Amino acid sequence: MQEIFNDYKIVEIGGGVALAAAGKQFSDFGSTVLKIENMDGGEIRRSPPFFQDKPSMNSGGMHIFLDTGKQSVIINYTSTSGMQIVNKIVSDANLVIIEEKPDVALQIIAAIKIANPNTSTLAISPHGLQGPYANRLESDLSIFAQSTRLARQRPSMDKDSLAPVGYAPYTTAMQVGLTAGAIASAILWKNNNKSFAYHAEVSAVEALASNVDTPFVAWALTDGVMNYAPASGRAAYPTGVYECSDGHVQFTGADSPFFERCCIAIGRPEWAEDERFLDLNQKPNHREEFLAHIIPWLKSRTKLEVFKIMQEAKVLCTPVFTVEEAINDPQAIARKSFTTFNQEDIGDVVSPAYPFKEYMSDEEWILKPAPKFGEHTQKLLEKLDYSTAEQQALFRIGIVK
Amino acid sequence: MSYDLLDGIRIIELAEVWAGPTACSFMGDLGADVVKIESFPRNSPTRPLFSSDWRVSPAGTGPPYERAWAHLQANRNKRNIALDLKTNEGLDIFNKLAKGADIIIESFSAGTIDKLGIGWDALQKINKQASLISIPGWGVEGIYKGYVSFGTGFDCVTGHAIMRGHPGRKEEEILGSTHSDATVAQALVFAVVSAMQSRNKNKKGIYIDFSQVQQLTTQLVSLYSEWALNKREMPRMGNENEFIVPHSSFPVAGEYQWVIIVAENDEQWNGLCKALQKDEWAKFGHEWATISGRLANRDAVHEAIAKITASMDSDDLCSLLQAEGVIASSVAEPAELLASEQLGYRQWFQSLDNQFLGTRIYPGLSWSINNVENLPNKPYGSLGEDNHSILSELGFTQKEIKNFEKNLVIGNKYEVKD
Repeated sequence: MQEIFNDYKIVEIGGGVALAAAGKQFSDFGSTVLKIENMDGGEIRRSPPFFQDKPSMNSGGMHIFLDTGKQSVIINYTSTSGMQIVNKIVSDANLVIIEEKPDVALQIIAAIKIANPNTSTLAISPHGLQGPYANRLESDLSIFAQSTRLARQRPSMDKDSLAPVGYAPYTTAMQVGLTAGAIASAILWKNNNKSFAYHAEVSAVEALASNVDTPFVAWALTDGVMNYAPASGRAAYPTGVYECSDGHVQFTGADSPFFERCCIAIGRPEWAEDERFLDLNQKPNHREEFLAHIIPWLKSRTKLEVFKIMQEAKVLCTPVFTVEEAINDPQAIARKSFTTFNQEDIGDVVSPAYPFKEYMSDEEWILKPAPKFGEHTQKLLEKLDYSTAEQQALFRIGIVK
Repeated sequence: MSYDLLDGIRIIELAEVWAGPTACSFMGDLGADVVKIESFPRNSPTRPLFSSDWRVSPAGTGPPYERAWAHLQANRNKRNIALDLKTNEGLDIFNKLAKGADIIIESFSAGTIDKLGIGWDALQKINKQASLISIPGWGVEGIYKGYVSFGTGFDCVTGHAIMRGHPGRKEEEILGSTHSDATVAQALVFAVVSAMQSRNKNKKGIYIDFSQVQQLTTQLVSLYSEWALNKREMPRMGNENEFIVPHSSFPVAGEYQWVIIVAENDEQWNGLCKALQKDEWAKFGHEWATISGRLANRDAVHEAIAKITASMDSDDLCSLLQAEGVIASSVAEPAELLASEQLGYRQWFQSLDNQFLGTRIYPGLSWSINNVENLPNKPYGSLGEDNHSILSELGFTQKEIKNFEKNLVIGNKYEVKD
């Protein structure tokens, strides 16, 4: 299955995390993915975490995880000579994905359109390549905030409550990359024979705001009445995170039929038929009675015991895991959800495998190591018939590295 | 708005709640012919039967399950047939639909479709060219077969939930996140195209076993690479960043109003100091003038900025900072998104029709194609709205269709409990 996209050549231009995440979907599925990196390597090379906390262009976790199986060439593509090399590289590409400042991206696209009119492009940017906000600087968190996603994470409706809190670092960029990968795959499908050059864009704010996990549709359809899920509403129990003897579990779905199933699971089957709990108008008044039973019930069991009991009862309940626990979860081991690849100078790296596979297939998910910074520059120039004199001239003035 | 990139692909959707239906909306946006098989007579979880349910819009008219935003936001650009798959007639209809399908996406708990008699083995007997994509939470195979959860649960089992939130706060305060619904939806577009590519290569359909939990782990690169490289869990830092100061949410004037401010380098820091009229903070010799100094004085820097921003208007503050090249953004509410000059410039929002709620503003698409014309949307379909047309397409007579209705094999109404 990992060869599904092996007929394609994808070129990345830039150094963003979203760009690398988009390209990874193709390099892991057999495509030739060539990273054209600028001299400074960009965010993907420079972002922590680093192996043993020692920063270098080749030891960053974002790069090692997201550049698997790619080739790396370093070209100053903002120069005319650099762009000439880029145009030679993309001449046989199915798609060029760009994450750069809007003015640079527009220049690159314009140059590609002239030299390679049948090559499709996809530009990733915070706000789109044109418009009043196009040149604003942004971060993962500021994009998340502008998309309304952060507002949804308000801890409570108390006036003095703490600020809403964002997700893990780079989750915004990763989702934008995933969105870019999706449209890229659709373009490749439609344009298998390169008969038409598509010029597409993914704006980070639009990618997040168009998806679920935002309050916009709820707000728009309720005339601004409902912005937030009332997770702490008095009728919504059990919902949220609860303590067990060795950690925590989380419940979702306080409605029928999950509530009734939960009552049976905790040894109070009579509550599953009790109007005090089933009638949503009465349920808030009996919250304390329910919690007084379930809280000690949970605290006398481990999170895995609770998980098993609740899942056998078909209750939406999960343990709260650390990363280490997630990697060592028996289900993850049974499914080979994580794979290991060897990265030069670092050793074995454990990484999530791809989330889907052919049913009942024994195929191991194999990741190839990420390329060193500029590892393929010289070979590529040779392949493109640049003479040794030209290579030295380009190197001398910093066009290639 | 829609495009024609996936036209000619027929997708049968057997999915509920958000991840699967949202994915199928995206594929409808890209031109696929999506036929949503809606649960009948049992309502799906996002179609409440009480008007008082918090997911039901108080606006408009009609039954609550047709006014639920939780349903509408994940179900555009589809056709809709409401079908009881637990009847022989329902199974017969499904099989006829499957015969003409390229892709079937289902989100039941693992093993359910086999019990219904519509699993992979059954599909193979009907249509060897169709692909089946199953997206149970933990995947089809494995020891958690049949386990159930929504996106908020997946957030917990992947290690994401435990690192979210303000430092030092109790785990019980962790808020639910449905991030996996959003990311699984986009990943499914890629999975569908992968299945079509596989069919082109192998001349037969493929059964894809898709795990939503695994999908979310692929999105948490910072957490998993920290573990892989250094065997450490990432600390809970609220909106702060271990390597950037300032990087946080700051209060501004008004009730519960916040602004995100980030200055990643000295240039941005200097701009921030200028905007806040604190030039002395940027002068050589001041302990906050350098990255090392700001990292060492994280709390003091953040407190000093917060003291200034607390009385400032959010828009004014953001404008001042952005003019100086500083990353600044309000924590936008939906009304601010709607008012965005940028989104207006890009004509991003779209108006969609719904017979019960009228014409409303909805978010635009996740992507744009600059040199291809947008195609019109299919208006939002109500429950079972396309029962007749789909069944006619499948060759059923009007008499047979009426019998299906009479025997509750198909329908277009749920029993409301108000």
